[in-house]
Amino acid sequence: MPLLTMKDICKSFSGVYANDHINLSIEEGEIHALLGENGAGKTTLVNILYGLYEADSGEIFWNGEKASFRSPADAIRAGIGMVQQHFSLVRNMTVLDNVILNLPGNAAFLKRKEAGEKFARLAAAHGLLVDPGAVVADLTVGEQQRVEILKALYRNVKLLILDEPTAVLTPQETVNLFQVLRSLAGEGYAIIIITHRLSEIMEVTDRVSILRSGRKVAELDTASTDVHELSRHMIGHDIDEMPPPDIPPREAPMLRLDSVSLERKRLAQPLHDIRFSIRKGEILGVAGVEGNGQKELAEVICGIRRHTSGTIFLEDADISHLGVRPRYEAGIAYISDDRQGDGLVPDMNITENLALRAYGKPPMARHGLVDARAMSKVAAEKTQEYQVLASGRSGAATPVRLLSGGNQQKLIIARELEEGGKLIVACQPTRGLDIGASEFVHQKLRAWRDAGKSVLLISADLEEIRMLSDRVAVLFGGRVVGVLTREEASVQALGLLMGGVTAAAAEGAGA
Amino acid sequence: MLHDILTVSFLTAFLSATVRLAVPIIYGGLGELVAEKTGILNIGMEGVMLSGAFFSFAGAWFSGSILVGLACGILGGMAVSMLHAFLSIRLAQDQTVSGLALNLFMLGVTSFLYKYMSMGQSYQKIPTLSEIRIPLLSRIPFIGEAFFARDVLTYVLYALLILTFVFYKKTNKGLSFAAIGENARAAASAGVPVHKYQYIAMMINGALGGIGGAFLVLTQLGVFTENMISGRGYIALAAVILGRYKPQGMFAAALLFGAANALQIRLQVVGIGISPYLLAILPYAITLIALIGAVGKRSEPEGLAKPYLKGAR
Repeated sequence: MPLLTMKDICKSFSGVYANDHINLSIEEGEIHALLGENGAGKTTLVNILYGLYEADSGEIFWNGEKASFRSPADAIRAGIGMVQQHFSLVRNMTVLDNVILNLPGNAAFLKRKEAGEKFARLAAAHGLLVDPGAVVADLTVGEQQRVEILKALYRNVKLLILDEPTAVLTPQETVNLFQVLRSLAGEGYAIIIITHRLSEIMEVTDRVSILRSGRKVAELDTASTDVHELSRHMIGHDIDEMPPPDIPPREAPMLRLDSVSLERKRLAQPLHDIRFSIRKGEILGVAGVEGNGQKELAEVICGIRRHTSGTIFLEDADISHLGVRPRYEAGIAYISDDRQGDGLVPDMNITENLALRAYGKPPMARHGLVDARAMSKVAAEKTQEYQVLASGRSGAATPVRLLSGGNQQKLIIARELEEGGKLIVACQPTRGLDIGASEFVHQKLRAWRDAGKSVLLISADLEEIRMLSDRVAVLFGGRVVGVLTREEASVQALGLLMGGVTAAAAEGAGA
Repeated sequence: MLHDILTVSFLTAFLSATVRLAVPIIYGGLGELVAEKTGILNIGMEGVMLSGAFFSFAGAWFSGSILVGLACGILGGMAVSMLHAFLSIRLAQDQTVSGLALNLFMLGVTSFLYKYMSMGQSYQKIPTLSEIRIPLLSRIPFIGEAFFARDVLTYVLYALLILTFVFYKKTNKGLSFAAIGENARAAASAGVPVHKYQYIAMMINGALGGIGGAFLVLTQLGVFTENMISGRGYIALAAVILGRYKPQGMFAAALLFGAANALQIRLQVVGIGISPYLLAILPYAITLIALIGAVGKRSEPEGLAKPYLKGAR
């Protein structure tokens, strides 16, 4: 008898089916993947299971009995735990307080000492080490995820749901997480993992259910499938292998940084003596472990932060003293890594977000006043060209916070890739996107490059860097520790540089 | 002048006035703290207290009983808070706008009702709560007179402060109530009934604010006057911020305000050569300066004034 059976689950949002008669069943000790592109209905399905949404129709059987979870409290009581994509942690409380928050078995007065001991035992048993006394806001993302898993285990769940658990993790943390999940499955826990990364599915799951546009299109045994079959089901066709770049970059530099530093007190990551140049028709990748100055570098080039010494040239013109808008007008565009934070205004609609850069100039403005009709026209053209899909009926008047991550990213790209642009600073441009959307972004960046323009591609994804870049610079501790050509940029070579092991340092160690 | 100030009688009277002036603010502050811990910002505390003051007066006047007056004050405060709760929880309206609107609304309502009730006559004072001296404790020099020779409402307040402190620090429910204001979605996914607890917190907000207003009538003045709260509700909001959302901190901040107010009154009595209008600014100036000094680490609940909608994306 399966631990969980979901039968004919349907759910629609404003007339659009997010789940269309979905069936799912999970056994104890099974790691089951829900695979699908953004917007395929994976999160909706588990939110129904977890009591966050109510299904329009369909039935849930838990341990063979018909169940209905009207709230997370019901689901938790039954033994279902969920680690949501955006963590449900109270940042200003300690780890322990988060774990024991509203436990059904809590006495009126909290017994923190006892709870702390139980927590420590549980953490040690599953290799999920984290300090129970630490305040959550001070933890890394990986540690916060461990807290979420422990929170579920502490509540004696039998089924653990993880929504895109690796999206925020470093490769090393991902390896650790998978070890933990394997050992949990070995102890009889059932696990549902939502993902769109094919390699992860092959690595850690037993079975895969694939969703597309709200329907379940296949259920497969991981052992008897491969990434090609998975991707065929997921996006309806094979992944297009992209050809290597064939048009060599021109010699003329587009952007040149001459000994640029950003050194201020209380700066999380200063930049020291950055020197490199990007040629016209070139994609320069910037690799590095996150937090080594990537964001700072992007912001210095775009003018959001003012560097403290050195000079920045765009086509031989000194732009060091220009602000964000003049730099944009000079041709520097920016794809931010933080879509909701500084890439878009989440509560504004599609039209307004598309106008954020150029609202002050024709065609969007006339005689110093914005022309709403012209703005709508531009928005209609761009959403068409970039295939931005807004759910529901409101179309271009939809607030962008309601769009999927992929559509939000398309929107940013539609706004930033202007005809007059020369250089685009693309910061983690495909983070959190599914394969289809990532492919789209890559195509646009390549087309931009092939038109003789330049791209600074900052990414934590080495595969992406190696696939797209003509040359790769590596950032470590706020310094460029090496610039490799496409041929030199093997994973090993990049890995060493990312760890701060430069050629000189390696020789020094050898001698 | 200084030797006039540094006398035993001056200091005793000053401390006593400090506590007396601080009590309504502490009541309001405590109610506000409970509300804000669950993420509801009630700027309408001024209106809540005004409602408490008026209805406690009306209740005591018609019934002749202080106890009935107190009960009416509590209900009056709760009515205003529940209106704010409905607007900000159920309808997810802007809490600042709702709170400000309630303040103006209650000023009008209480003034109108008071005039309607009096029909142009003037009222006599209603009896006020009597002083209860606590043996031994009230004999402590300076402090004893100030803190332990007071009325029953003040002693209840001490108990409530300790209760609130223990509630948030030690209890299971306290943790849940505090989690709502920090991150309602996280609390909900841990199974905390967010909206129910927010309504409970707002009932407490109204009851305590109502007592704060009633205190002015039932223990201090014995009469109601138009706009008699005169900013104490706002000062209570400031005391919560200054006290970093902790009951003990709010208590200290409210005492500071009480002290500033007491000082300016005393100085006027002593008769120093400063305009009384300038002196009257003192409490507000000290509040501002203290708030500037409190800049730095953010201590307000992260989800303050953000409505929680179940199932919203």
